[in-house]
Amino acid sequence: MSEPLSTMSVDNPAAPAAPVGPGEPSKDQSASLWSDARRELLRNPIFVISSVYILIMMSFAFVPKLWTRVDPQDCQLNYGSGEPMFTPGHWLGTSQRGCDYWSHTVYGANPSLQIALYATVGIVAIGLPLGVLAGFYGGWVDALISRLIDIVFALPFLLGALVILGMLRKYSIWTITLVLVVLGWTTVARIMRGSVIAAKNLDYVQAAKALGAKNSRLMFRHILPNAIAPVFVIATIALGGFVAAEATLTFLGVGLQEPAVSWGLMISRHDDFIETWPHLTLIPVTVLVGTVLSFILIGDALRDALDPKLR
Amino acid sequence: MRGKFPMKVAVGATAIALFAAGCQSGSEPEAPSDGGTLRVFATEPAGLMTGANDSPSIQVLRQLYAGLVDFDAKTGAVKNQLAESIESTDNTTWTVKLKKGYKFDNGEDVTADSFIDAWNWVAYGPNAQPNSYFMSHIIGYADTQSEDPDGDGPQKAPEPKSKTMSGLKKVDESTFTVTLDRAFVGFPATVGYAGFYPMAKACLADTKKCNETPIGNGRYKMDGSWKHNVEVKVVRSDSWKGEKGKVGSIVYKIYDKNTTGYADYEAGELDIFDNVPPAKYKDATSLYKDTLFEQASNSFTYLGFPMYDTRFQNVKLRQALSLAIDRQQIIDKIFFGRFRAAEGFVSPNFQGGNRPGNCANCKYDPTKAKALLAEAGGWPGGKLVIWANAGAGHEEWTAVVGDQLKANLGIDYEINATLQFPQYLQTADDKKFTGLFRLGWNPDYPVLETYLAPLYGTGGSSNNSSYANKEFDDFVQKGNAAKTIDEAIKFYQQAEDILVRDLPVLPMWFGKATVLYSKNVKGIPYNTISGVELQNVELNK
Repeated sequence: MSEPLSTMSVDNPAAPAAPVGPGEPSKDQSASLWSDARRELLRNPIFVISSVYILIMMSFAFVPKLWTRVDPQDCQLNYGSGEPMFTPGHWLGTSQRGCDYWSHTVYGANPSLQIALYATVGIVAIGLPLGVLAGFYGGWVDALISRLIDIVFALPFLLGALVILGMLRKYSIWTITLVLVVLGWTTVARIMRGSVIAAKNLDYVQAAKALGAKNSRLMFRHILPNAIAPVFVIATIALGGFVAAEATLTFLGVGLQEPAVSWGLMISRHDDFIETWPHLTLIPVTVLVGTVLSFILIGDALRDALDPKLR
Repeated sequence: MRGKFPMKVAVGATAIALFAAGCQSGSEPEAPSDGGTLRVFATEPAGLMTGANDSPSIQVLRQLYAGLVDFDAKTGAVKNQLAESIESTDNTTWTVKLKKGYKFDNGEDVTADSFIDAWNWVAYGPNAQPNSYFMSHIIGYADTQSEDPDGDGPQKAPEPKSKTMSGLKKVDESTFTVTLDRAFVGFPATVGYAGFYPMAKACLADTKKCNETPIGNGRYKMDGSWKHNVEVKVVRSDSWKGEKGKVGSIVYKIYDKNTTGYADYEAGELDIFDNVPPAKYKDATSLYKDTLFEQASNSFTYLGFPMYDTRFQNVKLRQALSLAIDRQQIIDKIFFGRFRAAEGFVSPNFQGGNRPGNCANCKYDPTKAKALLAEAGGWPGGKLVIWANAGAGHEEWTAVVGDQLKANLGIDYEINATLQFPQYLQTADDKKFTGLFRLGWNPDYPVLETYLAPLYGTGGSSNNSSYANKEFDDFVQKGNAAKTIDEAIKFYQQAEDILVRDLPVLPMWFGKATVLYSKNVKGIPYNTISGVELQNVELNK
């Protein structure tokens, strides 16, 4: 979290007991945008439920041993193929290949969430500086960056992804992340650019300028902290989008391949059998939809919380 | 030939055509006196000239044309049809004598010229007939071909040296000779294939028209012309001298998706449906138990070893991998019994091909596999890559093969199914596979040799394993030069025995033809070589 910004603070007399983050000076009567937002968020049940769900999925992905001791790579047709739910030893049944479905559901979170996290970090790392530069300097810098954004925007996402992955011929977490970043950074850049343009003419920026602040100081100390909120919202929603994108690409056959374990693979290997073994498709779809939805709802809640006008 | 894998499915049919095909009113079956009308599932043929080699085309051509020979439905043995005799003293120059009195639908006689002209036309490079390569062992074939100097580039290939093959010579109206570039005892069996049908002069004079309305010499003739993406209709031909077809007419209803065809079959709009979608297979086999016909087919699926990779040059390691795979279990669990586990390298339907138990290394024996792997010095390390072409549904079963190898031998694996079929075949030709690779094979003619020389012969056209064994080549050569086909089979079997030991590829399974038929159909007469004999289907009403 950035430093509290008194200029953006909102008078909120009813908040003396607000939790205060570490490193932030506690102020009695005026709270920052961020601490206000936090208070607002913690009171929002949708945000809390979604966050808990995401935390669980994160633990699926990064500490799967908490949830299952079965090795997801231990697949044998001897264990049964397409066993129904609540089979002894496999409470979610087994996949057609004879893999324990619960362990696949748990471990399957890993590639989706890894890709989503890396890709989101990637789009912010590329989109944010470009957006700031375009918005702050305007002129030919803006023209150059904006046209670049337009060009990338013009590429249909799925088509672009299929073409790039088809060329790379290597489907791994890194190549998929690369494709998602290459095609996805534009939204962040655009939002950032607009946000910077809106912020750069505000009084406190002009004041800082008048006091002789350098461009870099203006950008990073004054404008960025006040313009970054929408990027948080977009990035959160993008996390959900990338989880879905990974599953989509895998489903189309240009994503991960066996013996990798992922929700997209689970869906694409069993969707033909939706009539015979509906649970084998429905289980991964449910966790996937839950994850995407949670990210989007968190994004929504963030937007509501970070935009004082909506309060 | 491998190009037939994956199955060609008609393309380009629009949704409108599909709608039209799906919604034709099911005309009531006619009275049995004229045999009735048989409604058969089909996909759009690539062409109706005899040079077409895709299964939808051949299905139609088989009824329109009659060749020199056909095959016994049960044993697959060669029977003369239009040929009086096909004889040779050295297996290289063959003399073909024709039976007299056969005519084309337009009244022309079937003569030696009808065959010679047709074969030359099919072979001639610029005509771009897929069956052209079937003629490649006839002397003079090379002169009818020309190399395009820049591949697919703008330059056109120069005109070939000759329009005719010097190996085809007319002796008299009903006799001609064929000279091959090698001795091959199986030649009479090869000429039963569509590419070797005769063509009428009127047909060759206007091939464009003939493609739309073929002039055949077989049991059935065209009724109207080919309605693209809708149907092809054929009726019993009065000019046919041989045994008449049992059904009065056959309508090939053209679909662009087998799922639509399956729905139409379920609605009673089709009498014969032979393209059950894999995902519906389980349902279909339980729902239509009483009207289901199944028979092993000849399509062969294998996992090849890249022998140009030193890791795979140890025969014990190859045997260990083979013994660690439970083929039957994969077939049962992943394909619901849609295949027949391979018990050798040649189709059990072929004369001399059915030798159950002959392939000791095709069985499942994990204990022996472990012992052999230890003898071979263990797996050299690293992941075993299993290659398959993308988007054709091979990811799942290849992964199961990997699972079994991992469970039984402790070898970690990785699937590479990233290449579409054309690039995949290119990778095979370039010898760039880094591990086991999936490929399929369909026989070109019903002689065991078609499963041996092209796939494993030194320098064979589809020898993607780069296997080379002089002993094997010699047995095949001895078979080709044998006096009779029975003698040849003995040599071919000895050649197969070498493969069984050496395992240049892992034989996985042979296909199974699954045919659903309507209640109006009495049963499926099936020919082990050419498939459903539509002409012999009988209708109840």
